[in-house]
Amino acid sequence: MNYNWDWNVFFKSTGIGSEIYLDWFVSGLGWTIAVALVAWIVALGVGSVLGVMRTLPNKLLSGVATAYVELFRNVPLLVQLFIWYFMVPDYLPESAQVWFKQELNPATSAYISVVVCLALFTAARVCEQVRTGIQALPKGQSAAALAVGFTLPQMYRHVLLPQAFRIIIPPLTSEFLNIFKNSSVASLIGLMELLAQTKQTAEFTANMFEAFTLATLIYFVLNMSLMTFMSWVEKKVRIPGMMGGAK
Amino acid sequence: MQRPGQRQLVEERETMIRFNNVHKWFKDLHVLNGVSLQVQQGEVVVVCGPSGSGKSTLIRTVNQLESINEGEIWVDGKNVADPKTDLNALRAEVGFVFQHFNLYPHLSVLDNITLSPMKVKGMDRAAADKLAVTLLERVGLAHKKDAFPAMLSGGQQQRVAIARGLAMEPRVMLFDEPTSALDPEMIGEVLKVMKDLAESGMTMMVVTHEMGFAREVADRVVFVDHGQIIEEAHPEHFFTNPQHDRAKQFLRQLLTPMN
Amino acid sequence: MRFTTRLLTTAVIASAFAAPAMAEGTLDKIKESGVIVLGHRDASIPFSYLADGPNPIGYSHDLQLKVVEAVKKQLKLPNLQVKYNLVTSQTRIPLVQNGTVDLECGSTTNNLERQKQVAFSVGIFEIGTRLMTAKTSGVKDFPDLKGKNVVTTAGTTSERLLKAMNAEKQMGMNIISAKDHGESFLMLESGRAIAFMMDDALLYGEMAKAKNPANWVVTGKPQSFEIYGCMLRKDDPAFKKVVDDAIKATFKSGEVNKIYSKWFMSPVPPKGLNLSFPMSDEFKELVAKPTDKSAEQM
Repeated sequence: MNYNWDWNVFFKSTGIGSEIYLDWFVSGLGWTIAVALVAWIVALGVGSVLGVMRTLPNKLLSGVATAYVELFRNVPLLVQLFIWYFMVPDYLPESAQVWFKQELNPATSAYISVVVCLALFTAARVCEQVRTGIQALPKGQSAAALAVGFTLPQMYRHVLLPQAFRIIIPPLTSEFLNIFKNSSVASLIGLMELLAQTKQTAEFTANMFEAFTLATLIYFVLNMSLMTFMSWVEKKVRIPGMMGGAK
Repeated sequence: MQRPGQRQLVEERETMIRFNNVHKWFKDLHVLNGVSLQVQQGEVVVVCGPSGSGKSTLIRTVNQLESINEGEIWVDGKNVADPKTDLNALRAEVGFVFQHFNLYPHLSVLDNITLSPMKVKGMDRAAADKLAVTLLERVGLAHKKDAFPAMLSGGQQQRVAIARGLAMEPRVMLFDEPTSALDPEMIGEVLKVMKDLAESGMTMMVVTHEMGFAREVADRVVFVDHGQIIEEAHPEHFFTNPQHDRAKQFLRQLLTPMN
Repeated sequence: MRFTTRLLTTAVIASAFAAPAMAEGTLDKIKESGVIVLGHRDASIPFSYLADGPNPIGYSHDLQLKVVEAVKKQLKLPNLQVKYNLVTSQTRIPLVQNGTVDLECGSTTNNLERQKQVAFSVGIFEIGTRLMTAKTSGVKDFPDLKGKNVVTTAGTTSERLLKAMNAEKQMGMNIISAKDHGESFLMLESGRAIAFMMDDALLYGEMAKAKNPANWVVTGKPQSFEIYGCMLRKDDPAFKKVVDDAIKATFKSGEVNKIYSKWFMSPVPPKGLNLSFPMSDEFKELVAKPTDKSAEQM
């Protein structure tokens, strides 16, 4: 294949001010991290509440959580993004619509939409992990907590959740990595995250293999750092003397 | 069994636990079939019976880990099945020791004991720690306060579980087969702690097959089969002269399991 | 990530299979196999797109078929078999390079960066980059966009020009880079942007698809001109000559006018829309003096 390799392409001017193509990758990586991290924090919070709800004896609350999971897991992420970005704002009051669509910087409104979308989508997945974690605990744990007079919230806070979260660190790690990969949907509504900047560079320079190689490398390093961080967390909260899953 | 109202009031004050014609079904299975029983303050009552007789269910209804379908259970003058009863407050007064210990694996021995006094009673950390160390000394495990449950033997875990129950300063202690999950050489250390507790005047209801313990410590033995109390007697009478055929058969099998 | 991997894998596999063909010229390869592989797009209306059948249609495709006729004649292969291969803006260059596609005619701008990777035929079309806006918006030209939200399609020359203009003239525009032309127009239609900057031919295409085409107008002084060309492999003068000659002949005979009005001045599939986009002076000039240079080289 007579491909014209040029690894210096990243240091060439983009023709916009004094920017070089590498700046695009840096800014793309910044957006990717900003989207994924914030969405992850929200997803973890919302997903944990939903996961707890699914294990409650109250039929209404667990029903609501189940319906949420079914809805958000089964509608494709792209469709959800379009709903949040194009449809939901149309149902806001007139003044809020003008603010969201015109006065707000387009990058900000796209950022808000994609964070809400990814957070609520991932929350459904986190919910299922939390539920599984709680249900995997021996029945005796909740009995022991109730027997000393704990209220339901105290039982979850002090006995069930600390154990459940330790069990589900590995699947949560993979959800954490997924949210970084999924954050690339942001490019569909014009937010220039890493994959969008990569395609952009490929398109402008016609050096697509260099561009995608660099992107692959960045994603790889990002993933490895996240995994290292999560296994550090896992080690940090490991229960002394525990065999199997915790060791 | 009809008594004048005056007498009943006096008796309620002295009675820690009173079952009044209690029924419970698991779907079609009638697990508790009209149980009536009283446990007086300071009394040690051993409940025994073949497996599947309903004895574990019975003891779990006292603090409502199992609900009941019919009848009444009064604990320390409160009707546990009444929706108006503050169940959490009631449970805080009733210690419960499980067959499988159920210690919190993610907490140290000390934290296992201090968690409920601090969270339920609002005790401060220093006081809770002091209390926990005292209780650990009582069960002979003060040196293990920083260990985690997975590092302890079964017998040690059960002794910590007893200390955890005592940390709430309960008025009653319930034991649900506390030694059945233990290796034989560890049973003694747990029974020793239970015996000390009985001698200190604690009201206890114990589901167990340890007939030696029953004979030595219990004030009364209750024999349960098919969800009914079949025989209720002083241990001396129960072991030497059981009245009912099923009780005789149970004792025979327990003492000579090879037959 | 998934996408990246897939793209790289495709490219690697494709190159492994196609490598032996590289030793010889495209004409030899076609003669040997009796097959010519045409690259086409799926939604570049009216240049190269899929509408009714399995085969592409469009202005660029009609010219592509002129080339096929010329190849048949040159190689004396009246039964030359034509195979189609769909390309996207990301795959079109590697697929030409690795020999999967022999000739790509769609809406590919000839520019210096791409010339390092592939060869271009003489220009087949020329566009100007302009604005589309609502008739009532009050926007007449680029200076009116100060401080406004403006949309353009990611990865296009328009995007680069718009960003550079914003930086140099400090216009304070908020530039939205949408994924494709359809989405850019959605941003315009939903009120998120006041104007959409793009190749004028594509703007007319979007306008024809709108719910109410009369609401919209294409306006503003063209910020640049771009020449579309067909792509073929580099360093293959024999094949390039056949391609260029076929296109030049169509220009010279005036047949190009018929093809042009068929796609730009009459209703086209699938919806029977008429783009009503008259031939620009710049394109007339290109037809009169065909060249394989990019607009920036002229």
